[in-house]
Amino acid sequence: MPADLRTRIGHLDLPSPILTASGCAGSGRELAQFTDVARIGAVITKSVTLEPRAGNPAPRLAETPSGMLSSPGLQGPGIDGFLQRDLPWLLSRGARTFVSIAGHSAREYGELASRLSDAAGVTAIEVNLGCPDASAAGRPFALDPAAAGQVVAAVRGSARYDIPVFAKLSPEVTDIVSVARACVSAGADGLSMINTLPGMAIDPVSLRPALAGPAGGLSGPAIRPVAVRCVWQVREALPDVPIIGTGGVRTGRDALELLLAGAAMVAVGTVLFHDPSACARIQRELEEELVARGVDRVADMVGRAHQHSGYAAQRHSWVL
Amino acid sequence: MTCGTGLCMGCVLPAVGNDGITRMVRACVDGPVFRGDLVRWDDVGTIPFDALGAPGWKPRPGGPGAPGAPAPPNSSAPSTPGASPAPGATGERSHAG
Repeated sequence: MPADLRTRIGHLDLPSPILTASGCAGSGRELAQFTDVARIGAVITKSVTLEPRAGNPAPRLAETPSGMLSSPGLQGPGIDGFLQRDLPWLLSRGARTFVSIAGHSAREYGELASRLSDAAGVTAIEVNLGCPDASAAGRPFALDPAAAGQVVAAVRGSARYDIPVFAKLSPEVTDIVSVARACVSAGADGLSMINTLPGMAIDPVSLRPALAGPAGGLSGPAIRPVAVRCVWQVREALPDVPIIGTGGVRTGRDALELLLAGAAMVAVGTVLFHDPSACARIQRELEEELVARGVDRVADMVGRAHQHSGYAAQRHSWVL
Repeated sequence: MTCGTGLCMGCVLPAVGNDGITRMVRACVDGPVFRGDLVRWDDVGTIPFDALGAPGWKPRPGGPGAPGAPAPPNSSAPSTPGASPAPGATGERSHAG
């Protein structure tokens, strides 16, 4: 008997917990050549900004062991272009759309949220807190619980009441739980983690940084254990808050790992660059993993690793 | 090295559209063939100051972005709202061969 992948988060009803991670699905059209976007749990868009952005100079990408560095610099059409072209297209294809937004001040985020609230086809908003805060010398919002909370409060205050707001957290913090708490206290309906880890590579031939950035965000399987740890810690502290787990997911088994750690949904990103149809494959593999374990519903696996089995508890006390 | 499907935004280069606006176009999906005179060869590897969305870029009336901005002196080409983000490619195809 097939396993039930349906995922209910509040009033959201998704056919699957597998999402595309922000910045890795283009505008949706690029992906649609290879896969049916309506069958993905939801498409998380590239981060949308108020104005069009040309992005960062090239080279923007570098391969690293089990991952890659990237700094595209939020190249995109801006909110006007997004609302005119990208969002209606996603809606016409039957995709559920989580719109990722990015800005340099809480006011910009709030304005983006209110523009999105007037548009049809916004399933949820993901707040990309990885952008530099203009009022804090360019420190990303996600590194400071108070700054992150202010942005989330501005978005929650401007977004239509029935659009859930997810805050995307960075792993580059001493205590991710404190940032998570600040976002939830400020009104976030859910959390998304993790963003890329800042990294850098130097080209041994040119003797120069490999990226024009010169630093970039590290993604791919190399960061999956970091994602599992962050999801675990936040789930432990805030068990009732839905989490989108992201970070280096390549297979259905990888997705299951994040679900077990406490993610209710799993976003796949870097894998799409070499396998643009990965979402459909990962959904199929996840279902097979569930069937192999005799599990009927994916929801039963969310946070399952936190439950103490008799054996684990016993072994734990013995070790101590 | 990169995706080749238009997702990763790694292969961009500056090209001038039929509307006179420079955009960072993706070689993989907006190309791979561009009209040579529309590619800003000297600026490849950089973001030209006046490219769409670059720091020096100013929206033009009727163009993408906020209306009401003054037009630059060389704006002879008509700009259309919602113009294709792949101007180099459309220009190329009509002139190819």
